[in-house]
Amino acid sequence: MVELEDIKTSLDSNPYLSSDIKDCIMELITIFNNRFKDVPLNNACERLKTLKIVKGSKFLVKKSSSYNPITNEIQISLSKITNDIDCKHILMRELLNLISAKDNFTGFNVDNLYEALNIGYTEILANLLVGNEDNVEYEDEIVEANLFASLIGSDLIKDAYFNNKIDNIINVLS
Amino acid sequence: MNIELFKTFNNLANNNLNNKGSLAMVLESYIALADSLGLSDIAYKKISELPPASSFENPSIGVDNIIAFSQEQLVNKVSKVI
Repeated sequence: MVELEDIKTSLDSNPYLSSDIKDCIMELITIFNNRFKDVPLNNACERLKTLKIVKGSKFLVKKSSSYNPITNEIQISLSKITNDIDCKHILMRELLNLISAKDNFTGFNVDNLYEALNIGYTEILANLLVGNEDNVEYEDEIVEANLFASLIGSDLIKDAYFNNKIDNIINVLS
Repeated sequence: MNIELFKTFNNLANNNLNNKGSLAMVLESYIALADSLGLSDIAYKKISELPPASSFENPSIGVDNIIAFSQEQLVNKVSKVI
């Protein structure tokens, strides 16, 4: 089982991140682990070894940031990072995407078919863990994911998100 | 029936994300889905409880609303519908 010390070791071995950002990531992963002790960090531990944070195109990155699970990059749209963006929140959001990443998707967003609900649920988790002191970027998606979770149950959507299993949700609805 | 309504709800949510729809349309489809699951009472209550937009900055809003709904209640109701 991966422990937080293993996360630190992975971060220390990453040649692409500054020590400041490594400290921030370690703090956020610790917050996550304290709240969700039952979610394994094996995937995160591996991805953190080679994670990069790069400038993203303002034409391709919808809001202030996104995580690409294929290239293992957090992309930041500098033009959209304004004074009313809570950077702690967006970094937590992208780390949640990293933690829940599998192959070419994150959470339960298989084949990019469930993007809005996946984003909404990610935002809900980020709000839970670190709050959001400034502009809410995905307000509608938070509402939609919250309402949907109220129909199918919090356990089911959490399991689908962290185990990448949209089928569990589909089966309940079928 | 439920799965088709979920697909409609999901597609409308994706469209709204890409500025091709509206939250109102998504909520309409959500109510239709809730009706088919026999959960319309809960759906209307949840929608009526939606806080002002600024409240989503509060970290307790998202998860507390979810936890307020019992997983066991859902499973029982879905089973009855099926």
